[in-house]
Amino acid sequence: MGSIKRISKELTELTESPPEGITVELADESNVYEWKVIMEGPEGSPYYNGKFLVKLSLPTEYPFKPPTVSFATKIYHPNVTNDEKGSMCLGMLRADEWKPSSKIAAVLQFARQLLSEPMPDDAVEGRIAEQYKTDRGRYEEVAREWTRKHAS
Amino acid sequence: MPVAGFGSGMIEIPPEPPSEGSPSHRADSSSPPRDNPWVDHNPWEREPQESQERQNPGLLGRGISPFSSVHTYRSPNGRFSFISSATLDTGMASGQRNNGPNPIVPMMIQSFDTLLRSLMEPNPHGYRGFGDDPSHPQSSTSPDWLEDDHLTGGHPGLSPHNGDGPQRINISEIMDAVRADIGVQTMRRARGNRGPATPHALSILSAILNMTRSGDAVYSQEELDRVITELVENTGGTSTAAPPASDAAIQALPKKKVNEEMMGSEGKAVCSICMDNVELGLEVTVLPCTHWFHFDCIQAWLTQHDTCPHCRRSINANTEAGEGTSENPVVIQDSPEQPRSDRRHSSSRTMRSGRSSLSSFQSRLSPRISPRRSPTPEGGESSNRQSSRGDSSSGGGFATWLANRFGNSS
Repeated sequence: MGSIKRISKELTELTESPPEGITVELADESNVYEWKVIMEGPEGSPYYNGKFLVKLSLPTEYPFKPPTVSFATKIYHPNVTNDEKGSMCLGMLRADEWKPSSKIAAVLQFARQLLSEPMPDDAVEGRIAEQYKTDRGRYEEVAREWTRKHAS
Repeated sequence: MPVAGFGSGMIEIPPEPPSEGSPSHRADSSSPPRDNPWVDHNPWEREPQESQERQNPGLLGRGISPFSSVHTYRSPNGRFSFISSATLDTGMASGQRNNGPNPIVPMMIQSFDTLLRSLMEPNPHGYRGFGDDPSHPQSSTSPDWLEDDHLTGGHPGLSPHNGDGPQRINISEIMDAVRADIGVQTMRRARGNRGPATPHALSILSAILNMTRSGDAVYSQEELDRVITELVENTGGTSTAAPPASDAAIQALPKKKVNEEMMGSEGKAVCSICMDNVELGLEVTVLPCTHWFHFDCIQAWLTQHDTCPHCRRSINANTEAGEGTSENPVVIQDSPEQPRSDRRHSSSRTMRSGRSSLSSFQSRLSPRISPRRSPTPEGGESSNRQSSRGDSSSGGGFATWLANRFGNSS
């Protein structure tokens, strides 16, 4: 299948020259569709010094259908659901906005960028988004606390 | 076991300050938070048949019966309240799928039917039928289809007579929409005959249940979330995703051998679908936007969406129309085109009354319903009638009629 070839290619690229703060590997060597990503909290964000386990799942139709990104490590963030799924809401990953020419590396970099700059207007956790907008200090405090507790 | 579901839900959000702590899931609580007067609001309470059902714990009750479930979700301070109910079918409309007699099934059907009946029976306070409305310009020249029940029932949401609670209206509108989509002829009542609605309710029910994928039955909050997400993404009846390109259009795309200019300054280029390097002289397919790909790669994409996978421009170079517009409509195979425009009108109608969920409900149902429309003479008549609806020569068309009827333009 064509998708496996492309996925392997992207995996090779990502392991050989990983983007800053991102390391990838397969969750299970026999399955190229499930990736384990370790994402380091970007400097300057309340997630700094945290290591987040992110799961990236590729559909068999990849690259025609978008991958999904979810945080296995608990994270206090407006764009990540605060539940056992930890789904991250990324505009570029919506089925109707996805472009096959987007690479996984770009997706992961975008996801990490979102840790530095949350998008409260596109939030999945409205309460955190509200706090991010109205009480940044408290948001950062809680996010740091969660990072310390869950991601280090 | 094939299962199907029928669910309903409400979200009520009073203007309360945000709560601390994450939402929790719990079953019906006996102590409703004081700050939300609607927490225990039950739209079905006025339905005696439904009450009867509710008193029977074997039929409705979380986890008691495998055939139905009611989930109540409430955030800790009552800010959100969400009630979902799912009723399952074990394949009543397709005997071959029945694994054996199940005593609960007929009970279920009967209860559901009773409920539907009560919803569809003329309402004592209620709206009047078409024939009772002297203001309506009914005449011998009226198009035949005006008799269709879903039009003549009057739209209670817009009628001054409804004092009986909004949820009832929702259901009846949903049923109207469903009937309109299924093909009203099969369940059309004779004019003036206000007899029992049972057969109609049952055929609607079986049609819905038959259509519904097994995945539509929700058992958990997670699944409910998924269904809601799906609904939200489909809202408006027009998906923003581009429709597939035709095979002819794909074959007609120009091909070109990769030249040095296309290789770029670094002398290296890839097909951005498979990410494979391309070599000089390799034949690739070029889209009107000048982006190029391996033919096999771009073909695989274009059979799903008729846009460039890189810049999203339409491959139909001659039309500036974007996907899904009237000049470039999405055509669903096996589905007559005219009911689509009918649906679009009813979508805009329901959107105007602020019930966008209804239109997504319709749009979700219809593609699955259409191919099953029975090929009986009655069915054929149905599509003919529907064709006449959108015909602009028949005095303004359906939209105009709607606009006149409900005093709403556009």
